[in-house]
Amino acid sequence: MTGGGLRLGGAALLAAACAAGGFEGSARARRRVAEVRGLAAAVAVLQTEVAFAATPLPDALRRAGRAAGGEVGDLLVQAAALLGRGTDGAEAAWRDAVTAARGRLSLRPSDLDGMAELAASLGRSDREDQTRHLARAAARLQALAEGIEPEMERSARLMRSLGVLGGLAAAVLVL
Amino acid sequence: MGAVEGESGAQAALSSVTRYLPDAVCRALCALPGETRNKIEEIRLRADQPLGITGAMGEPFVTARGLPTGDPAAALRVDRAAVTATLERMAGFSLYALEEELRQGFLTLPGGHRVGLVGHALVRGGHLHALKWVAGLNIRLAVARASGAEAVLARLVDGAGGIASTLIVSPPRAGKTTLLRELVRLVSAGVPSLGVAGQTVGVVDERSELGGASEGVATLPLGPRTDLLDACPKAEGLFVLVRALGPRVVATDELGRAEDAVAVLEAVHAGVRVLATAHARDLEELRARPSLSPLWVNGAFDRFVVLSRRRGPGTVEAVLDGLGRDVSVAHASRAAVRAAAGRDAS
Repeated sequence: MTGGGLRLGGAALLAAACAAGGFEGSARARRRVAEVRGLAAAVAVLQTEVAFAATPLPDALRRAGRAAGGEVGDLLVQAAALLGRGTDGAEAAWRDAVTAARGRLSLRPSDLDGMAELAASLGRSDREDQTRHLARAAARLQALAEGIEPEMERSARLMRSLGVLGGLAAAVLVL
Repeated sequence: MGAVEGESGAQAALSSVTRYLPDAVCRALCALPGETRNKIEEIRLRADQPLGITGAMGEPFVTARGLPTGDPAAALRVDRAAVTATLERMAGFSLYALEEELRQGFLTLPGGHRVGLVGHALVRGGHLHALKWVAGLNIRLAVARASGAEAVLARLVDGAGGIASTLIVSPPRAGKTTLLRELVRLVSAGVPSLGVAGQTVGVVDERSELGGASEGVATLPLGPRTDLLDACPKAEGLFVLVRALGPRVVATDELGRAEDAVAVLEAVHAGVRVLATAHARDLEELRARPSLSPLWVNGAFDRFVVLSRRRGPGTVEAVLDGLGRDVSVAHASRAAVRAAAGRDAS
């Protein structure tokens, strides 16, 4: 292969890599919204299990996790497993599950603030009080999802465009 | 999982509750001298008070190094956080699932260990609605001690191999529940040497102490022909069992309310024999309880077994008939009594 051919190939690879990075960033932004919505759905299931069935917390978390599915679902199932093993309560189980899941989640740490607050009170009071905590957490997640969705659409488009255009620009520079 | 008798039973019972306890309490109890540890009947955690135990050794406190002491200042102090954490573990981190238990002031752990609760009472309509800020736990260990149940059963058998309706009477912690559980197991399994064929027994276990049930299944031995209705109010449960399960014998613990007496009478009049317990020092004290007077008036019970702690929990003071006469030899087969007494002694 000639030197010109090599440059052309390298430029093409660079453009493709930048574009792929842009698409990945865009997909991550979409996953973030999906995960927030998944958490909101899980909290709604949790609220039903606690308020109407008084399901013990490990079982309730497991059911909510299965209903949510995906990485968020796995997170709840993991917290349920830790709780079943007798950790120091829901707060510790949630914290450990989040630590273990870090890297697989597209959520930002601040997205989980509401859940961390909820975990600190989960299982520690009567149904009426638990229902209030769960309703507050669900509302907070719903508001978060609605707040980040338009931003996500913009940033997803921006990342895709930046990836493709940045890649093309880099390719031109290489050539 | 069955309860183990005697000293190893006390050890096993203690081991089965230590997983709920704070580390410091656990260490102190496990470091107790063997002879003290084997006699523990209750563990008392009170917020901002010393760790206490109760049993044949009295009511000593326990130091952090596991020494019994009468000096509260020398004992391991239990703070409110430790009480709360223990309760949360016992509740499986799901206090909301135990509202009824919190309202009644107790919960039962797997294995039948009963945990009494005290704290700030929330009252609605003049009745205890719930306990808030639980500040004290009394963990009563369920230890199967030799109950002499066969010797007692020999005195309850009627001529046709049936069981006389029997009320076991004693003050708290004298072995009523243990004896009742053993009688249920024997009647359910059958005791050929006493002429007792195995028969269907229905058990209403309002406080989950007879069966120590986990998710509705007994963890303590109740016999192969026993139907257990767990965590159900006694009166309602007796109606359900008699109507739907066709038992020849029904058993329930701690009669006390007027509706309990009505339900027992319904069962007796339906041709079902009843084994039950009630708190009282003796028959005289029992007769003074107005809520149970219909049982006397209608002659619901043919036998009364009076227990005490005189020679340890489960000391049988008397087995009496409906008229208060000793029936230890008058009504029972002497040979059966001797055979059963010999087996219990061995």
